[in-house]
Amino acid sequence: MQKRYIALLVFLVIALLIFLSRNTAPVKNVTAFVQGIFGGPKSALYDARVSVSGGDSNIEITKLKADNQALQKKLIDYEKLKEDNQALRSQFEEGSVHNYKMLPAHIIGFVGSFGRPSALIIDQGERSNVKNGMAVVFGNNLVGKIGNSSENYAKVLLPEDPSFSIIAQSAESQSLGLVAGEEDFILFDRVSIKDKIVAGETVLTKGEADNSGDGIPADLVIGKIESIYRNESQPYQTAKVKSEVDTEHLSTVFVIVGF
Amino acid sequence: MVYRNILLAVILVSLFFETTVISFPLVFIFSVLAFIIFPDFLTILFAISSSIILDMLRISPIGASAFYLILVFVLVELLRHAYEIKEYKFVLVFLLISSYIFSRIFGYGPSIALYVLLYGGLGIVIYALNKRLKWL
Repeated sequence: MQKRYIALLVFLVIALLIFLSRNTAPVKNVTAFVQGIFGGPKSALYDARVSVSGGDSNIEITKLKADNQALQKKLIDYEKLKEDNQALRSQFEEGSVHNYKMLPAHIIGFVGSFGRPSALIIDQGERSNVKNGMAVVFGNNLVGKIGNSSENYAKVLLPEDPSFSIIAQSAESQSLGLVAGEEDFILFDRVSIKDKIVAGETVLTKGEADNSGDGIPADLVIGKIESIYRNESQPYQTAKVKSEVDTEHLSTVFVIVGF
Repeated sequence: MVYRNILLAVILVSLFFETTVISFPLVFIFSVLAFIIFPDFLTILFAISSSIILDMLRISPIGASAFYLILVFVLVELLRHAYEIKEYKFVLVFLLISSYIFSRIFGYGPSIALYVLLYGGLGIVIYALNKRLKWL
């Protein structure tokens, strides 16, 4: 009995020491090693989950299963490659217009609830020069921004996350505001009451960068305005924004590492 | 011993599934369960290591969930004297409360309703199977 308490106390101290030294090189190296081991299986599991939850590839896989059981694995690999290739091609076509330097990343996990995650975990981290605050996109749509990065993985905060906030502007009326997460939806806040925003209008990023030039480029699509709350006695109006990105069915995203 | 190894294997498998396929604190739940049933050094070592690995995979502050897990283990030890902690009703209520607090602290999604439904359902199933079921 006494030994158990001593063991727990020792582990408590070890956990505390690891917590305090989490940014040191030895802990980072161990983290990189562990993430390297788990990366592949987690990526495969996440892809399987995306397929099961109704991605386009699932329909094809089902057909292929019915046609030829023996070729199933090869065909899944082929479909995955095709999907990745398509995503890469469309992304780099989109990217070439803006001259962004982009890094493809696989989603390997999520944080939050199953149908409505608040963050995604991707298989690129500090070793690939991914830094906090960088934009993550799919097409010209903003998926989120890097909230936290470790050696091989990074956490992408989605716009619905309460800790997410960026400067934004509406596409037509050019109204400036702050886009922030409210758990269930995206809020376009702090829009001057004098500005005329309408439902259906697209909300874009205004662009922001830190001292080293990393951040979020301008004109990425955050979503479309669904509803507006105006009160003439208030200096600001707010709007509910719906993202164009279906995160549940995404398996590849792109980190803008330079713009 | 076989049951303990199965439980530890389940914890290991949960590391792959948690946050990749489902958003539920499986590693935490099975770790606490393993400690209630087999409170020895190997269980503690395995549970804490798994918890630290999970932090690395979730990009959470490394060691934070292990810290919480040890505090829960200490609580289990304190309650071991006062209650029959291997009684399934105790295990379910204890896991419900501790795992819900864990999920709130570490940003897991499910609501309290889902937790109550899940543990309640599990309790009903166990009760129906054996009214006097005891762990071990």
